[in-house]
Amino acid sequence: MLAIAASQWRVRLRRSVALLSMIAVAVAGFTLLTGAAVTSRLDAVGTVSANYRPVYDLLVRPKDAVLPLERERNLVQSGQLAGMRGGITPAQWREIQAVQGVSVAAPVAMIGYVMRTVPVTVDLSEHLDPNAERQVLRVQPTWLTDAGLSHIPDGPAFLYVTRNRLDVVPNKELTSGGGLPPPEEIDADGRRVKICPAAAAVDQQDWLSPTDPRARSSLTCVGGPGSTDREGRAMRPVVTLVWTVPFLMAAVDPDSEAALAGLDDAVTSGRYFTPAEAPTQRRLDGMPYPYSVLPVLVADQPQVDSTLDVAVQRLNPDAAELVRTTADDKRLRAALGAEAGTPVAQRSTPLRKPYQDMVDRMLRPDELGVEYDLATANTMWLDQFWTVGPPKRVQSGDGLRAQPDPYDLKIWGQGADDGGSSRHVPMEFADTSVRSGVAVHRNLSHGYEAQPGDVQMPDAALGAVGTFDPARISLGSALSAVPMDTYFNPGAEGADEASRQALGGRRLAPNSNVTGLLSQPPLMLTTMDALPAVFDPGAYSTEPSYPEYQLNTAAPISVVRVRLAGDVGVDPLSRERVRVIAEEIAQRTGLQVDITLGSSPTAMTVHYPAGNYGRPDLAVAEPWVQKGVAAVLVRAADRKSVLLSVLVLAVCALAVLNANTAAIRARRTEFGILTCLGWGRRHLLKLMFIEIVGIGLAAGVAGTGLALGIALGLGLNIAWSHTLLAVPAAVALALLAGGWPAWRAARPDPGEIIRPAVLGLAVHRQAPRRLTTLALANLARTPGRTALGAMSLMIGVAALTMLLAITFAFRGALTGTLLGDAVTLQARAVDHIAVAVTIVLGIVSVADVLYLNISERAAEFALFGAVGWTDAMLNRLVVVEAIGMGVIGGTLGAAAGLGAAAVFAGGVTAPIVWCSAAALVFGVAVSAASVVVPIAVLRRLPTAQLLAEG
Amino acid sequence: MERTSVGASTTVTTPLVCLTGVRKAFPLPDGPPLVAVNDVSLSIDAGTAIALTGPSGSGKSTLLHLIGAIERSDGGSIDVGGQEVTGLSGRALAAYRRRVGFVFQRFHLLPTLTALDNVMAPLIPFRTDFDKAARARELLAMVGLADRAAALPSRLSGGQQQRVAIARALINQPALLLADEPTGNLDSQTGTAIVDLLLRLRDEQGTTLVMATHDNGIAARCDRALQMRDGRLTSLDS
Repeated sequence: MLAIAASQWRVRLRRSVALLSMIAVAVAGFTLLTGAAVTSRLDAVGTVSANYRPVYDLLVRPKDAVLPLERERNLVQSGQLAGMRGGITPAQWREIQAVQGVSVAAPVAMIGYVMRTVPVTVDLSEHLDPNAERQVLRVQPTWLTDAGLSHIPDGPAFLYVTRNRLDVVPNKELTSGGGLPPPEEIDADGRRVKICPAAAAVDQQDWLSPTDPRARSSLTCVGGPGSTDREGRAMRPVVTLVWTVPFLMAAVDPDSEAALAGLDDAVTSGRYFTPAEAPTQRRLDGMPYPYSVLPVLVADQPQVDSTLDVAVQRLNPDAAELVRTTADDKRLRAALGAEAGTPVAQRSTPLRKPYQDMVDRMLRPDELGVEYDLATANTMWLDQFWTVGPPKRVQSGDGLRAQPDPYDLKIWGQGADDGGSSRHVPMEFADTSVRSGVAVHRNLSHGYEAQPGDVQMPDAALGAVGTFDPARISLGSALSAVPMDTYFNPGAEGADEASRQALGGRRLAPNSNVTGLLSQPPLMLTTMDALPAVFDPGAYSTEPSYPEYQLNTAAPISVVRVRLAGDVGVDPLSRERVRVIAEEIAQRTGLQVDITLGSSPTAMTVHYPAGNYGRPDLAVAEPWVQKGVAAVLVRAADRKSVLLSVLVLAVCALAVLNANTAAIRARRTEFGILTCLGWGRRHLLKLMFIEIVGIGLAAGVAGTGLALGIALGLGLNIAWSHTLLAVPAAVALALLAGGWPAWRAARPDPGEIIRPAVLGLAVHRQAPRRLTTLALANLARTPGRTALGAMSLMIGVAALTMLLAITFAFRGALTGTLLGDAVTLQARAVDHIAVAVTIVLGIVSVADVLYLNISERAAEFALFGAVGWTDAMLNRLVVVEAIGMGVIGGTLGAAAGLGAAAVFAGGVTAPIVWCSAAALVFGVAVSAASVVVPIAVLRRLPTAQLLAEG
Repeated sequence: MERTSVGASTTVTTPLVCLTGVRKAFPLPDGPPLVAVNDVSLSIDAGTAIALTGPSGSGKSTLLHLIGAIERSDGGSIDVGGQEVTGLSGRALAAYRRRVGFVFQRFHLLPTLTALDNVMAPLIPFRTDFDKAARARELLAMVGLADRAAALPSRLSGGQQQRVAIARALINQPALLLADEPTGNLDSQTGTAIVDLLLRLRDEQGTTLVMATHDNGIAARCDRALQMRDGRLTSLDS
């Protein structure tokens, strides 16, 4: 039996070598592709694993803090750490800490906003007219924010400068009552003129919004040589503008925060908190009760998008006369505001330096050389602070729409047209608000009854222990970043073309408007043990007094970020462990637990209404978090690896099936003879299987060599042991693809081979009279073979359609998360190889079908030649057959690819249709091009011999 | 590997082949079926040489195929050596075919095998208690091709190929040898030599020979000549 098989291989050497080569190439391709796919899968899983673990594994929140959208789409919103209504009790936090498997449970309790002002001095010496006796300069400040889109004008500051000396009553000579005496300008003739009148008392009905420009304008008077201010310092031609910074304050647990975010390593000056650091108690002389000093770490940079532009104008000379002749401060500033002027300077004033000066002052209050009571002047009294409600957002299409939510700004303190005392809120507050619910919390001094002569101060103050650099906080990998709003708000980029264009490619960052869309991160951190000083019932009273505005003193914690003990991998066992711990926390606390492990940032489109100062409607992409991305990606990588292998194997199998069918078909006569000679079916089967396995083994060895060679040549990172897979793959492929034809061939009808030929001839119902119909009829003569060729091409075209759709219609990203995009891009090379291999095998299959058709119909072609057909006609016949097969396979493949792409995209889109059309055209074209070898065979047909034999 | 019994008795007094009312028709795609054998009844004694004559398409080859179980009859009975052939299937059918030698007009040698292998081909899957190659060589020597044992069919002349085919038909020492136009593709000189060989086998080994031919000269050399026309036997003796 072996000998007869060997004689088959030997005598039918060309066909055997062709079959062997086809299997070898197929299994080498399969081996390389699966190797590359495995490597790619490992890379993908490696990328996922490397970026699997964010800073925290679980996020625990109050249930009512979760938006419906988050639940619907398995998301975690950004900005949730700025939730100010608390909802988690310290006992629940301790409960979470006690859950087995929890390594760190780091709470964040948002306290609220504390306003601190930063003086910004503008020196106008250079802009004075040296020849003028008296002059008035107007400084017009404008705050630039929202990536330069908003220009918010502040109240003007006027500077009156005279060469005459000014007589000012120093502070130390001031007596109580009677108001501030205005400075007197001593003219050359000795006349004294009262200038810069003090503001009159403002009735409550005249209170303004704190952002009203009238409440933010000021007048400063500067005299000539010998003039001193109320502190006794020589006068200089400067105006002091005020920048008010809302400091968001939050409480954290020092140990947990150090373990989770490395806050202790981010300290840039001063010191870190001590474990469980509590407030210190102090008492001023004459103070009837002690006050608590909350330890705070202050961010060393303001983290707001804010720039101050100042425009300086020299007013007309009559403005100076106005200053000398108008006794009413309010009318005077109004009149100066109406005066025309000449621009003399325009400049941008940096804010970083003033901020750092302020932080320095917080850190070293005792070093400041101020003459009166240091303690009262420089202590950061926590006399009041503000809380802000959540943004008003409604679901809109795929995203959210923030809605204007105006409120009365006087909750921040009233403004008054009194000459510059009211810049206690940032000017950005005048812009559109999308979150109201602002409440002010005023210190009650725990109800101490003050007696006459008592020093009355709040019973809470802030004591800076150090500064920290938010940039040094460990935020984890960018691909698995989770909200770390405690330290950092990454801002949002434009979500559509118009918004991107409006933003000029920049990101929309938080600004000082605490009721705007993006909230700034806390600039002050204190300790959980300091919380009672603020959250004890009776410590602060809240206005408005409605329950929803009250401090949640019982449950002040907004979120707890949990890190689990030990290594947590991307494997199912680890995922199950995380799930069990999450479930236990949820059961023990009744809180919402989100598994952020394996999550990745994703974009959430939020529409932001137009601002009042030039910012247009914007659609911005907020960085939210898609949960469970890693698990999905690992499953996808597994599926993709399997899919690629199956795809290649399927095309290989089709190609070999075709070749095997043809080889066995060519031996029908032989099998018929053997049957006539008494061979049984199983003897025939045995013979064919010996031949098939032999060729499979040889092809496997050749395939291994080929795979190794290609891997070495192209520098592919494939394990050499993996190339050995070619041997069993080749045998399996040979058996798989040879099994069916062998099974069929083992049941020959011996009569068929010796029966008069006329009895076996099929009769065409419609005789083909044109070359095209003859070609199509030829395809129909061997429908199984035609189907095999078309199917091979179909798989290639379907794969190509998908690849084109992924590349052009989906722009390379199906998952929409940063991690997903990274993995998708990584796997692209393997996709290209797989598609190329399937297309090449498809072409080989079509060429093989054509070759076999020509071989079997050699006598027919010889006859056509003998009766006068030209070579071109014969070629056309073959080309039309190839195109026919290309149209069948290409159409089916394009349709299959279109369907698959549509499933991914959620519907058929125009780009997907274009991609499938392109793949179809390509499929038909390569099918037509595959005729090169068959036509060469046609050329070499021995016409005379064939006709003689016939 | 299965064992098979080969060979047959050389002296049999009862008819070896007995056909009763045998019919065979082939369906045609564009008309009524073509009746190739129509109600043929025939008895052939062992050790005789029978010639089936008649024009092309008269049913000679089909009748041989039916006796050799290469085709299945549509009706009637075919008894060979006491075995009803028409109902055979599977292994029994294969075993019956091994007991009958068949020589084809177109030789039907396996092109990939040497002359020796072709002769051995019927026995390749089977274990025998004799040396298959030695017997094959003997048979090749008997047909005068001892020196061409290693040649592929493509290297042999038509007459040589037919002699290899005869040797192959004899490898199982059949009691019945069916030959379908064994000289049809050969020149007259070679054809005569082939007929000499077949008749010699009948004489020396007692093999029953049924041979389809339209050569009256060859028919005349047989014990009996039966003429067929339109699927029927029209005369029973020469």
